[in-house]
Amino acid sequence: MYKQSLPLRFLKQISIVTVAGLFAFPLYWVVVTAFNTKGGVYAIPPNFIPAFHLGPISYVISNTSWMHYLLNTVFIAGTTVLLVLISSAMAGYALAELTFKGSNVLFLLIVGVMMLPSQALLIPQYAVAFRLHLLDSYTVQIIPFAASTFGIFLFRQFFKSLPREYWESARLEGTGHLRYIARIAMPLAKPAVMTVTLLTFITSWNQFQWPLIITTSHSIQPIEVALSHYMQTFEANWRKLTSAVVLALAPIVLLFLLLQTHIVNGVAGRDSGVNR
Amino acid sequence: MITGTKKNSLGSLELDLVTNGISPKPKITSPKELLRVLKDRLVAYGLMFPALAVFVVFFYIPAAYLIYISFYHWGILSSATTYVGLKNFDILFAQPLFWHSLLTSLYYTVVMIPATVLLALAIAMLLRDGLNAKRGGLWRGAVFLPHVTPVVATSIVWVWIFNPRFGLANFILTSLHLPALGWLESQQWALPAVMIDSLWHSLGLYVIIFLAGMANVPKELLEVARLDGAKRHRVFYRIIWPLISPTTFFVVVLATVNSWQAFSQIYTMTGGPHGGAGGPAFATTTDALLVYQTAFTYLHFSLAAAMSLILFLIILTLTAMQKWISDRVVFYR
Amino acid sequence: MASVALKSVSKQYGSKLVVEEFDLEVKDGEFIVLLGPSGCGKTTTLRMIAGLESLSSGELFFGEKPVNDIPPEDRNVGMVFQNYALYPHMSVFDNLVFGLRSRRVPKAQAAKAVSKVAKLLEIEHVLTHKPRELSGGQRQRVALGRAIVREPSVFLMDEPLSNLDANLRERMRIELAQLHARLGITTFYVTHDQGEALTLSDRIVIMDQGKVRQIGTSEEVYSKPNDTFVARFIGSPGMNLWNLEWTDGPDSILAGESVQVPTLLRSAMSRIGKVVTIGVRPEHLFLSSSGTGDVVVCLDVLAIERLGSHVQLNGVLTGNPSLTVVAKLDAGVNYRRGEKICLYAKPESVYLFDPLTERRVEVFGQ
Repeated sequence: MYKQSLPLRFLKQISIVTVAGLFAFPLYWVVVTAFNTKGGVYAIPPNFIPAFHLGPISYVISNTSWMHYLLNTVFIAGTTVLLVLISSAMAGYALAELTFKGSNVLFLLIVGVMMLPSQALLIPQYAVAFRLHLLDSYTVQIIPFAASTFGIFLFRQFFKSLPREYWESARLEGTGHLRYIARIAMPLAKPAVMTVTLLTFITSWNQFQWPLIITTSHSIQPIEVALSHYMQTFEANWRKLTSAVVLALAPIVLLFLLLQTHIVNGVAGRDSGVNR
Repeated sequence: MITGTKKNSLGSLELDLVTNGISPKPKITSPKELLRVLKDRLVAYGLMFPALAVFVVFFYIPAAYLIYISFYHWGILSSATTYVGLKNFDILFAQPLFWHSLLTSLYYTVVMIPATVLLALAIAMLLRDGLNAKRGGLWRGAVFLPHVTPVVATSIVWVWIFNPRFGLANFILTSLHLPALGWLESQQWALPAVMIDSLWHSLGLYVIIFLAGMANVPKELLEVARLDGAKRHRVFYRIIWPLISPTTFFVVVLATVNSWQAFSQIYTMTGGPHGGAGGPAFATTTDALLVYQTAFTYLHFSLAAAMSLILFLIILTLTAMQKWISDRVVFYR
Repeated sequence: MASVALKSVSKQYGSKLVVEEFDLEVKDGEFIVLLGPSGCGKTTTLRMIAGLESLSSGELFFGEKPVNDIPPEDRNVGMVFQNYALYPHMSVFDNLVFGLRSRRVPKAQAAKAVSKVAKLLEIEHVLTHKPRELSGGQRQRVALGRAIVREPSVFLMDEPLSNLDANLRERMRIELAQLHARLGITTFYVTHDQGEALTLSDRIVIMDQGKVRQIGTSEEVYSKPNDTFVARFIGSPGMNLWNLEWTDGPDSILAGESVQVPTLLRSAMSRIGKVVTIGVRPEHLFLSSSGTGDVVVCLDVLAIERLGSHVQLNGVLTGNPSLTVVAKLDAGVNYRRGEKICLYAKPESVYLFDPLTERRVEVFGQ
């Protein structure tokens, strides 16, 4: 918009690259550390070029249940995504397309969840899980996250944006709601499905505090909790510790690099659209 | 006549359901009609059920339960519950550590809010001007990437960076001929170290929110201002800043709520699973951390619940206050 | 197949009456056009017949059966929407077969029905295409096909041609007429285009602000408009209407300064009052008189539109600049702007309306 002088533009480009570099650097640094030589980690001045020593990372992979934790996380995140998609699409459809008694109240209930500070609910949530005999299970790591206000909103918005004639035409032809959802509404909602999938997956992958308090058996814990334990075990061995970190980071970073635009747009749409 | 082919697709939280119901209720004139209405309702409630069940069981019941536990003596090990009135709160208020944790949270939040808003806005402005190139997405991506990374994993990286002897932070300081710091081992610098990690992790989100807010500022306004000969900083103060004020308000609220509830990064950076978190010497023991430790290290559930209730009220108050202020300052179109 | 009857059907949103006391009996196989400006309630009426809107009061019958409480899916109506509402992710075939399968018509039988309709509408070669790959006309046919594949007893169309360009619209109009002649399904057709209404309809229902202004054949609504609204709405351009005070002269009546009417209209005019609304269609004005006893209209020419086969003059009554005159005259004469001319009309092509009630008053008889 503004024609700027060349030096100013140059300065601006430099600052952009610097800022981006600052944000990316810690992730680069963890890779450098993980693949560094034994002595190189503690060298001063530090080594900024990765050395590609695969010892620590192969140790972590082969001598620990690392893959097991990874699979736990994948399983928990995947199941959560699936359930969120189903529950959000269903509720979103009801709120968008159906008029029924009490819909205002139910709508408020869904909005209200966003107002509850999660930290404050931790203790009673734990108590409820205890009463339901759900402590230390996969179920309790999944079900509390199986519904999402954001997902419901996104689907509701999406279904509302569909021409009303789609439903009217289907209805005149004798199509019921469930068939309409399955055959018309959902196939058309691919963008919403994509956004909900990605953002739910990321949130779920990054869960920490809830599984930390709610699980005790290592065998069902996700990678973040495992990492937290590993921090004690490998406390002084930074190469092994950062190798474990690299393994936890790699999938989500890869996912981000592949689908960056989708994820960023989803977040931008969510946090600008829904809340204003 | 109803000719609208698209229904209202405004992305707002408003209860458009309220305004939808303008047509009078269809009169139910026959049993068959009654059956049909009932069936429609059943379908609607059925569709809402899974989501609502989760919300009720894991959010609303706990919210109610929270109040209950706060006024009882309740333990996970002992099933006996006795009503104790305000006793839990009396114990809390007599604890210096409780007040200390509130102050720590306040300190953390009070620093985080302006830092978040200023840095996120600055970076957003920078990226916005630079985003004309195709590579713009790359820089934006780099800034946002930390936000999608798991907190524990990346906090470990920061622990390593803040390592007093071999860490990068002190290497940079000494290279600049500045004194090295104790960082996480120092009472004074532990919380700032956590703040740096938190900023690194969360700024990307706020930058994206600001960018989205700025994208909604009509280009024509900026062009008109430019044609009128307004200087760049005037364009910012007179046009962009007022027009994005709802976004700024939203960022402030979000940053407040998130900061007051910060847990994972503090927990990871200052101790780990053996209860040592919050140190050194309680320098990083925030409200959220103390709740966790009270419940799961010392197993005082009732006390933790009472503390949670206070945390709940604090966040509610802060949000309400911010709303009150924003209604007087924020410019809504 | 079914006859349809609407008995004082009304629709109300809040306190706003959008359809008021609609009465109509439709014979089996009849083609009814609901015509009116936007906002007149014609689409709401159509949607009430479909069952997509409930009736606020009144009764609706399909054949002998009251259908007020019958949900749309059980009314066996086919509907074509203005935007077609074809499902974009489905092929033409899937679009056509979807409704049949919803009703659990066996696959083979449904496919047979689809291919029959596809043949009828000449869309067999695009059955595997997605809607976005089709031309406007093809989409239109698919939308038609989807409505008729279930062999509905009542066929509803909501401005189905409004998304097509002018040429295609004309062609589809003819095809629709042929299709109706062939299938003979009772049809309700909503439009604001009187050209469509005049060519397609067996009867036209003209609506304005929720009220039925006139129900009749094309000829009736053109030559016997019930009131000034219909007179102005039908015809292109619509009828000239002038509110004028009249005085009785020796061999003619002078209305205003520039209009002369033969005395044989006197009794009708005196029945109305001192001020009457005089109506003459633009195409009934001529440059030369055919004999005595003609209506004479003098005007100041303001604009001349040469339209090939004829010339359209726009002007105002001489001495009455607030009353506009439109005349459709033969081409070949040179008119000039600013010119004052007098035009003639046969007395039987003159209409009289009561300016208070806006109703037409019979000139002769009664």
